[in-house]
Amino acid sequence: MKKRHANLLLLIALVVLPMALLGWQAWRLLTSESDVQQARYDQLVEARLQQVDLTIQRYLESLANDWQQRLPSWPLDPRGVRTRLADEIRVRHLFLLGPDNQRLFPADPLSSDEQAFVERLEAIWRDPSLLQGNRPASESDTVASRAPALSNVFRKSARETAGIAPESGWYMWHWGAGTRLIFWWKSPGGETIGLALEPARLKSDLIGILPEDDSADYSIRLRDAAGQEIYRWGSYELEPGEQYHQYPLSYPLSSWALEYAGTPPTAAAAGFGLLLLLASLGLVLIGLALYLYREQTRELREAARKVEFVGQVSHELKTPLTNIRMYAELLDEQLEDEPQQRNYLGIIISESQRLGRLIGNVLTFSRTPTLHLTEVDIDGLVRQTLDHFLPGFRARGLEVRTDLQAGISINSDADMLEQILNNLLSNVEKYASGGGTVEVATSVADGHLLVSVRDHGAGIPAAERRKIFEPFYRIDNSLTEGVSGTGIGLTIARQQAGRLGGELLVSDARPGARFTLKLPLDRGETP
Amino acid sequence: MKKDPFTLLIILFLTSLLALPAQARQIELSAELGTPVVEAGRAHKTFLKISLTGFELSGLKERTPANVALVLDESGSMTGEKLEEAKEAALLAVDLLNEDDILSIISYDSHVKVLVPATRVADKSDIRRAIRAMKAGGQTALFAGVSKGAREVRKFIDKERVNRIILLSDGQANVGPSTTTELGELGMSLGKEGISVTTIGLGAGYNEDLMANLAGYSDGNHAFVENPEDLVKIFNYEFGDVLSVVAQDLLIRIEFEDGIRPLRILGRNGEIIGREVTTRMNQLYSDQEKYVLLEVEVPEGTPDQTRDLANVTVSYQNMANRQQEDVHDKVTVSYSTSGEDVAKSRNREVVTTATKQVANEMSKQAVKLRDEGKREEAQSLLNSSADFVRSQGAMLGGEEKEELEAFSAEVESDADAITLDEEWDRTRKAIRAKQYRQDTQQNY
Repeated sequence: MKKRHANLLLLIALVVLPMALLGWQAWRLLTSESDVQQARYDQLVEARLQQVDLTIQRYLESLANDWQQRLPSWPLDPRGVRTRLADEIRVRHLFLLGPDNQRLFPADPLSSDEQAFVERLEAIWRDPSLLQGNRPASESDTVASRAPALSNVFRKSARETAGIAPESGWYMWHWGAGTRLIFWWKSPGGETIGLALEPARLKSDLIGILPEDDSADYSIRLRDAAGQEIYRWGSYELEPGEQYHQYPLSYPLSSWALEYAGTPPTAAAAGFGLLLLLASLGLVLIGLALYLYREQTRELREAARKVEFVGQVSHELKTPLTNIRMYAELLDEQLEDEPQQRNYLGIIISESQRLGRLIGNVLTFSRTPTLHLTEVDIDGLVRQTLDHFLPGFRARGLEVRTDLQAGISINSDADMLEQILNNLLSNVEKYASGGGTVEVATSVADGHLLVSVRDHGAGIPAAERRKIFEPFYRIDNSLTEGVSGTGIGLTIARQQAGRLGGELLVSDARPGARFTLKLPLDRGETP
Repeated sequence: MKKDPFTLLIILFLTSLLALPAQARQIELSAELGTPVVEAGRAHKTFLKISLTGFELSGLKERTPANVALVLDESGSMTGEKLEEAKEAALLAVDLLNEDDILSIISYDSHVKVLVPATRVADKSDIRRAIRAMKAGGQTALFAGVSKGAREVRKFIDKERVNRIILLSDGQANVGPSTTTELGELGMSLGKEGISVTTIGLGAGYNEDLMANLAGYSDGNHAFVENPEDLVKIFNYEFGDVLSVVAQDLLIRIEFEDGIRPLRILGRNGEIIGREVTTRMNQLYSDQEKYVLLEVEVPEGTPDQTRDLANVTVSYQNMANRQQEDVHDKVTVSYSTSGEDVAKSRNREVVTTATKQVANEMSKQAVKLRDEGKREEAQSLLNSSADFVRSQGAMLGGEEKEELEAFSAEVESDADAITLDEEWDRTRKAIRAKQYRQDTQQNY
């Protein structure tokens, strides 16, 4: 039974171990794959937002280019610029500064709207050089530096930063919660024109150039300096607690930002294939294990059937054998004066006894016997058992010496004890009759009952001492040659000793061997 | 080469035939004072009305091609009848336009969708299919909707077309820029570009100030539609206007003579810089009058003196002959000692207009007071406005008396409604739309 469990465990291990190993490898592959995908995704997001930023930059650039071309032809006097203002659809206000930085427009009389504008830009009138100072703090603030491949759009501004005094540029200022942009241009004559963009129009134009994509994969928002959303596209719904990824815009709208959220990359596709592979591999392994397990259990079942058959046959042999013995013994009693016939009958009886023991062994081996506990007088049992063997021993010239010191009765199974002794004595008869003497002793020591059988035969080599208790094992040497045996005697003896709560030990006795049955007294001793 | 007299006569007749309608094909400008004769010896405040009337279109063939973007609300609140009626109205627009016209259709909820990019109205079935596929849901990205509409209009923007966005909304703008100021600024910029935004508010949930501001600064129309089933009718009116534009891009410049002080412009946006006043109108419709009303201060004068008051120049794009044209007018004021002269010369029409316009300013003030929670003050302001209108009517007598009596009665009913809590949302929208109509002389 134990062996079957072990086999099952082995088979399970055969399946589980490679699966676990493969699974671990697959997991490692997947995590590294998802890292790669995450990096790729981040790059994609970055590129996408950069593209949007660039679109916005291009728009501002095109406005700047347009004004750079048209402004030189403007009449640079208050009346002239006022008429031009009416046509500038993106400009809410403008100002004109003379070469001495004197404000020429708006100048009195001011409309109420102009009055507010003039008040808000007080700082510029005091120090017009502020316009030029309001530039990106470093190159890192422009799209050009963020995406070197796209830098040609910004080559000009780069040249401007390298030069001394730029002739035009953006000026960013804040009024209330809003970002306001002024495009300024300095004429060769030294006048400065500043065009203040209509903030709502700027937002509207940006919305116009941004996509109206409805993809469910992401959501992008453009928000202004105050954090107010201006426009969004993509219909991805954020998970609760999920945050937008922030991406500030380039100068001059650097206080604005793009916000991104989207479906995170999943290794699902790759993972699914791998999972499928693992699952099919697992199935193959399980199938193989099941096949092996069935093959093995089939052999075991067959063996069990054979044992069962032998047991059955042995059982059937028991009744006729008992009859043979009984009638032989009856005959023996009646033939008092026929020494020759009685001699023959003695042989029949002892042989049938031997056969009975043999069958008893087979039955014990094939079927687990149940214990029948009774009061057993140990010394009496030993004597009684020895009596059966005496004719055989005598025939082989074996002298029996007994030293029965136990003198107690124990609560045990008499049949089993007898069977153990039978097997031990039968072995002595078969293999150690050359030693001339067999010593049988009983004693009580350390709370144990000891029954020992010692022969003076060839002994058992140390290497074999463990193996002799294995079923069907027979020592392969001159000793066993020509002697028939089943190889289960000692096995059964040891098993029976175990069932009785004791043990059967073998020790070297030089010459010969000593088998000692050791039974605990506390298990069933009666005084 | 000698031509016989008969041929010459025919040529003369034909040229006169051609020239006659050409002369009539100009907008009519008249600048008039409420009191062209004032009492001598003291300064006066009076009203100057600059009235512009579009000429009549002679036939359908002649009409100006339109470039229209329909920007339709499909936010969650539009679900049901509102959206169905909006679709009907949009389908009507498709019916009214032909292949000379450009149409684009934009829908917006939290996101903006361009259902039909700007295209000639040739394949109507495709456009109808796009309209019918609209579904309601989400928030109201009104600013973005208008911005995308403007982009679509801009693709075909042309002085020789009527460039217009028609915005329909039933709710508060809640995605993107959504203040009254921002929408006004957007309207102003679009107006400069020649794009008018007509705003149609549906039901009692929209922000009437925002919608009126967007329309006002871009010189479009504004309407309050209480029942969705009226939507088709309103679209019909709106397209009636769109398809009857005879002049566009009107710049009205009024230069006052020395000593004359322009005080304010009533009902319209404009700039007063010193003695010069400029204002704009995006379009003038066939056979409709629009005006600019100014209050001016006239200095004291001597009896029988006549002095120049102002020169008015209107430059515009004539849609019939596709020419840039100017019209001029001149205003003078006379002084007299005779009260009879003053009364006799009074321009009854200008006084009526000015009375209504003043009452309209008071109505705006009353709504402001009501917004601040000062109901009693708002009501008494409207009541005094009604009394003022009635007294002006009594002074004028005749037809004008009846007209002003009716107007006064309307102001009184507003005065009753303004203190009431129930339906204030609805009432405010109705009053706001009425003010808007008065300010812009809207047709419907």
